[in-house]
Amino acid sequence: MDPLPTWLQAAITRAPLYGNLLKRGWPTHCHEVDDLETVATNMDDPLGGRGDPAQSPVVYSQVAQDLALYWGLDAADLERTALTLADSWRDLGIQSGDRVGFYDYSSSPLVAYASRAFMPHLDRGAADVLTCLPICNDGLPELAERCAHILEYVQPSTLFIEADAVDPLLRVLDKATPRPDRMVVTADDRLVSTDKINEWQQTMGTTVRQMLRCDTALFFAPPCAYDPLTFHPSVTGFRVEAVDLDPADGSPSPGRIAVTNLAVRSSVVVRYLTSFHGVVRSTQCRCGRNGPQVTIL
Amino acid sequence: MSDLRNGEYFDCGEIATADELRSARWQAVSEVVGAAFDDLPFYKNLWTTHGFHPSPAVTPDDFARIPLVRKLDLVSASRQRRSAFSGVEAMLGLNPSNLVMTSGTSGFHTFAALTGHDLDGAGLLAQARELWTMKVRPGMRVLSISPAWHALGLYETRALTEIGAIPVMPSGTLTPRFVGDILNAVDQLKPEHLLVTARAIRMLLEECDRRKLDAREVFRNVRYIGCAGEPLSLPFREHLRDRFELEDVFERGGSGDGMFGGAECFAHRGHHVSADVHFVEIVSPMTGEILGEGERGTALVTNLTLGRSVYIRFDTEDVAEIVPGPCPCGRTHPVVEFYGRLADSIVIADRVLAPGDVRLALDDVPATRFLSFAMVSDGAEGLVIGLQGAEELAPGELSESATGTATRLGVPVSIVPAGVETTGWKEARIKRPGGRG
Repeated sequence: MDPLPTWLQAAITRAPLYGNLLKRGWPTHCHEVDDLETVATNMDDPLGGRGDPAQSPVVYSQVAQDLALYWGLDAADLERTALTLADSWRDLGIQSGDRVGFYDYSSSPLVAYASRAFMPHLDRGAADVLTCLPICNDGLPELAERCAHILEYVQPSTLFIEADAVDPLLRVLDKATPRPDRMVVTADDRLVSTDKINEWQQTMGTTVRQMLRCDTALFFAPPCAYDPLTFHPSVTGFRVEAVDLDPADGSPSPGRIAVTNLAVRSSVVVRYLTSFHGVVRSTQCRCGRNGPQVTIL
Repeated sequence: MSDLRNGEYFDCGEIATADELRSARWQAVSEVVGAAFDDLPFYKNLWTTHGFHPSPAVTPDDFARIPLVRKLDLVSASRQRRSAFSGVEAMLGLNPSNLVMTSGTSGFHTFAALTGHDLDGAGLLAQARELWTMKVRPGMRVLSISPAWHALGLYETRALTEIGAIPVMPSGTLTPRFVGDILNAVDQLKPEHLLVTARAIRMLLEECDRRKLDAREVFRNVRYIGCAGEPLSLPFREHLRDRFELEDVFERGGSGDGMFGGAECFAHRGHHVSADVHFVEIVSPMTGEILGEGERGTALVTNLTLGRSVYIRFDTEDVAEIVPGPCPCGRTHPVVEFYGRLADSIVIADRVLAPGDVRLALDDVPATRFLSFAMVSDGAEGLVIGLQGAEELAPGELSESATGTATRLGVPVSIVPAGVETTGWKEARIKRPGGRG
């Protein structure tokens, strides 16, 4: 692999986490959530040791629900992340003038970076970049009727929905409720089975796609148009590897998907080990895209 | 807005004289009403039906003839068009940047549109003033969970940015499911200010108790709390100040319908509403008559700027009054005190008794302080209050509370045990059955 960018190599030397990683034969800098929690506890550091002391965050946001870890981000981090999200939207086929609905919490990265009115200190969210019109429900399952109301009166062309909210929504939809052109399902650090996606697609009567998402790395990637288990992470936003954690195995791949986040610099994310197992290829995808493609096994 | 950053206490608009405010108001009203009649189908239809045709310079008398807009009018327009756009969207030729919706107190979530013109302009100004009034300052860590579906949440996001505060944002939303995350964020990131709801504060206190944590220790860095959602009684404020060792607790809030709001200053007389952005009138819910300062009715709002969904003489159905007299803080804009939703209130002998009145009265008596309640019925005999946990009170305590509440409210009161599943009147309203969300 290419060496890490110079700015990132320098940031690694400053962020406390990476000096504290004494791993069990893992590749350099690889870490997982336990490492973050250990540093957070030992150093009384809510950023889990990922904060770059050379930067000045303007926002602190929780990394994921039920996890007492936080991002400290500056305005440039926010903008780069929003641009990365806008890239994902383009890949999904979202265009200028589209109405985009969300059935998720406003703290979800896929919502928060959608609009400058959702995230403080963000100059342009994905919807601002693409000149789309966003509307957000909340994420609570009991608010499914309100999401159905949005579908009926706003008629978004795309609905982003947290996986746990899909079944509650399907229960309240009737046949007359307008469907979005596409429904994009997301779940933090897990994938919904293809069978389930197909079932939702059939019940919903619209295209249902799934994004790869890991909030602990502030990572997301849109799906390939041809293979629902292949994803195309932004090359400017992320560096993705399949890390083989068993040196005795000998084969370079597949492995656990590790994410290096190139969009955020105030919090340093290098080789965060997600729970996904898969293969990373850099050949041209059959959908025509170049750049890295992650296929989850 | 730049003067907000350099430590000025007021922007110049906040201390305009009454004459300046009045003059600017009627000029803005003329522009907004004219634009609404020319370009907005909802108002054109409504006003034409009622025989109202605005003159180029709208006078107070003209304005008083403009028919009131009720939530059901907007619901009806939305339903007829089967669209989020009900015909009140004054976009100034711009694309809307965001759609928001109301909490649906009439059983239907209406929608509103915003543009960058408003998010960077009047909407931002009003919200930045609100936060500043509550002591939000540049560089201050401020816990905020602003919902992305609510107009005031979007304004809060932009105002925190403009002021240069450092938001602390836990996951989720202000519901019990996320109280642990909120408490952790307070403990770990040590915000100086919390922008939450009264319900969330109660949840946080309960969570401290559940975890056997010293609230003063967890909240050691918190100096201020801005509470939305319901009126705060003096005992509740004192309770919070004591439990958290706060410097001050501010009541704040407004209406998703009408997209306006305000916050208390240190004088705690009511909500300062930006008079150069919104015009608030109080009318009698029984007769529609315009009421004077100090008289209680429901609040009408007229937005004085365009580039957003515009509400003109919109009846928020919030029980309110304009507090008379100058405010010690020096702001010259009106102070509006809100008491709760008209739909949750009871009219006895031509008096509107709102849930906030009952809350204040119950909190005056130690035995019934902070207990959940419901206004059960409005029989001819007076007000019946269903009180959670009333069966555990001694007969003397119950009668003392009933007597004290009756004295304060000026009507006969009886208190009966009741199973109130939620933690306050606001939540009872939100969870009312029948699709009222």
